[in-house]
Amino acid sequence: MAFHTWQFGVFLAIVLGLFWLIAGHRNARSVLLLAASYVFYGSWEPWFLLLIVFSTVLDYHCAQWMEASTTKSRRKAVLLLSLAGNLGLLAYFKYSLWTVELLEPVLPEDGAGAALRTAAWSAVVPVGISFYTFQTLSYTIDVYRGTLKPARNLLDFALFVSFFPQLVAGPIVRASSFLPQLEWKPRFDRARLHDGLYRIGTGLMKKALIADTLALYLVDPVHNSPGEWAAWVHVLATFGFSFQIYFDFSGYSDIAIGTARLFGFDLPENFLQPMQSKSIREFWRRWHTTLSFWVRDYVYFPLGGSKASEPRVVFNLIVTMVIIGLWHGASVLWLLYGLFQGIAMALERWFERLRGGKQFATTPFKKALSFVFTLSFVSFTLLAVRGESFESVAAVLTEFGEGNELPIWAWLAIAASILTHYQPAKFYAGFTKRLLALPTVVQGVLMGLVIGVLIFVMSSSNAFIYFQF
Amino acid sequence: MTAEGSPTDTLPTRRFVFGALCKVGVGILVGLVIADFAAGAYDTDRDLRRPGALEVDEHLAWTNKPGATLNDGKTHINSHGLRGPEIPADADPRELRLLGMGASRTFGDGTDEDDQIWSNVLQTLLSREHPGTRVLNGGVNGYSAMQSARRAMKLNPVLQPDLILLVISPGAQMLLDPSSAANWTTVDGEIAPRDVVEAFPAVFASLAVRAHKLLLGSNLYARYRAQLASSGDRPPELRRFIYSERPRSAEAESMMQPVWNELREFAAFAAQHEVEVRAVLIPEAHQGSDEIWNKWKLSSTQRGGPALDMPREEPTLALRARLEGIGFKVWVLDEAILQIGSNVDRFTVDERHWSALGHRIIGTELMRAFEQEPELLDTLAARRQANPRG
Repeated sequence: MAFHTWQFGVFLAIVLGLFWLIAGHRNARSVLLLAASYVFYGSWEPWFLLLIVFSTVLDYHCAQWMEASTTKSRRKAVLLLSLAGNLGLLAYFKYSLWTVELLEPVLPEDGAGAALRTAAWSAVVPVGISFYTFQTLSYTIDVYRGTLKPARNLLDFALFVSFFPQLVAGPIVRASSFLPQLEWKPRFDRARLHDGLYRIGTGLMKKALIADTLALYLVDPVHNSPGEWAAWVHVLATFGFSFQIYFDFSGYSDIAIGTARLFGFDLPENFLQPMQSKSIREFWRRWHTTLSFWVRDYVYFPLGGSKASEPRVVFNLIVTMVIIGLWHGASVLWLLYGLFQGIAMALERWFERLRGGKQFATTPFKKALSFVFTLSFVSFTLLAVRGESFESVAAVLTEFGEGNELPIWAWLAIAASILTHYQPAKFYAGFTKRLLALPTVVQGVLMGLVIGVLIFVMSSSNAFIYFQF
Repeated sequence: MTAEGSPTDTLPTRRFVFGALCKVGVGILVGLVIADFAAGAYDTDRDLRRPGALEVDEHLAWTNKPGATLNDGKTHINSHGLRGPEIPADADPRELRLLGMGASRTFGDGTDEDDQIWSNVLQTLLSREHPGTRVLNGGVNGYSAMQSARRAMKLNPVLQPDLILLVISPGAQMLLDPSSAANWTTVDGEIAPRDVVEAFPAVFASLAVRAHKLLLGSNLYARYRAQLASSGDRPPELRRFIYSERPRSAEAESMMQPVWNELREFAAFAAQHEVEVRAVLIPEAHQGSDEIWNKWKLSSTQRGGPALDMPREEPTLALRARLEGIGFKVWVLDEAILQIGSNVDRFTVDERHWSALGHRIIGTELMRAFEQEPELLDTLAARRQANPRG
């Protein structure tokens, strides 16, 4: 059940009520949240539960075995078991079809070839598998490194893996930040309640008012009929799509963070005004930060990070970003997306070294230039997300027509994107402070208005984009 | 990444938590009521929920709104939801009555005056040989063949037509029905949307339907249901679908199946109720000439359009064969579309819907079809004479 459905609203109300009824009982509230999380996840497809339970049981026991191991080689073997189990599942469900397509020229028609094809074609990507796989892997890796003690019990660990607000599309949570919260008494006060409602309301508005409107009135028409639109509309739609995906995904994260807050949990921020970035490296420190930092901590740093020779650092950057690209999707487009990001980051680094380590964007003009370049690079490479094939991406980049009349809703969505993302930080902070100070019943009224607006504008059930990962 | 916030020593009291949540709940209800009023005012002002001549129908997804007038009073919908004037209460029970069913081209969208549309043209032409013949226009904007056939079955007992002209075309709108018309069921003998009934366990079905009907009084809910009824958009790869015997996607097949089922049911219905039916196959506007057709194919390659080597006539011939296989007698108005396609500026208002002159062509071509079956109207007239409407 998606966040913007009435079913989720009813589900949340019931679970929240039950949770706070039994909040004083540590195990009971964990059992309730776990059961609710499994109901939530199972509502997509019941058999998805088998996979998450498998990952949970495997990694819980791997951590216990590693803790009990006396030799490094044994710990390593157990870690490899965890990696193989989790990445094996991810590889089968997410990458087998692509692998078979790549190997098609050399695969035999029958026998092993036929069996491989059948296995690949029947693989349906379970929603959220990329998210919770990375989450459980961070747990076993941290236990292996000795930076984390294993979870107290299977119940706690299972809840960490499957906590429903962040299960299907993040933020990717680290066990070191989540597990201690299970020990604490659940936190609930006026400030947390208002903030939670604010985050949920903001998330719903980002998705319904901005992301879906951009999709419906600007992005989809251009991508569906590229030859009917003028070149400038194509450019607008390209930038529009990057904002669509930002508001869609950050809206989901806001709802996840707000929902968790109502239960007394804090989840990490996932987006830090990424469209204000003035470099690609800065962009990836602000966009989907929980993924970026995961890959930084578990891939980039182990490869040597920035503390290696320059060619090695370039290699590390490219490998890291290619992994990020492929995490999103199994296709050459995604691989190229990651590759371009890595090359861009390497080039930025090289350019900075040429300047003796000094930053480029030191004057208002240079800052503006950097901002425009970064936003353009981000937007045009994100075409790989929207286009499903080279042909469709090429069509958006090359097939132009004469249509140049966009509906008013497209312009309003563009204006809303700019106003909400580029408002001065002081203004935003002041506005939010005043809003959150309003009485609780007024917070409810505002939420009711948001839900009403959501119902009003929803013209189609555009699923959250990141559900496909 | 570390979590913000820190542990607390005290658990909030239940009184505090539930007191706060209740305030939120009350606030949400108040907010929803305000939003509901605002939605009603907005939609009433713009007639969005019931745009133009349409209203929501649980069984048909939508239908013409009886009594509506459009285009500064030039377009009328009568009390049966048909375009045109009322059938007089004292109409001759033996009058020959034809009922045309179809979508926006049948309705005459784009031509304001009722008396300029094809049904009036045909009525005038037929009345020369068969005075008093009445041609009724049952077209509804946006309809698929499934909706047209279903509506014909609903109107039959009331209107008792002698001949039903079911207008059908080989494109996506007619044959791939994504509306809620395919998703209905009955609960306690009442038509209800299937998604409402199936959202709850079977034991709650009656309650769900009652709640649904109660909630239809809410502007927001009614708007949401209206959108649901008419949307269910075709996926982008099917928007330029056109029928042929060539291999189709599984999705296209599954969207067409309810249409074929409904047409088969309609054919059986007509046979059972002794109503004559002619499937009037009018090619799509983009089949208006080889040039238009080729241009349309080129622009449709990204949206599930046909293969570039498909001849203009292929969809028409394939659909004809399919309809005849179901048991319909088919009239093909290819000549009419070619005439209209020869000068779209003159014969259409938007390259698709017919102008007054375009309607004249359609009416005339239909008359020609009748002339190919010279016995038809005589037989129907004789039948009606012997069995007047009660």
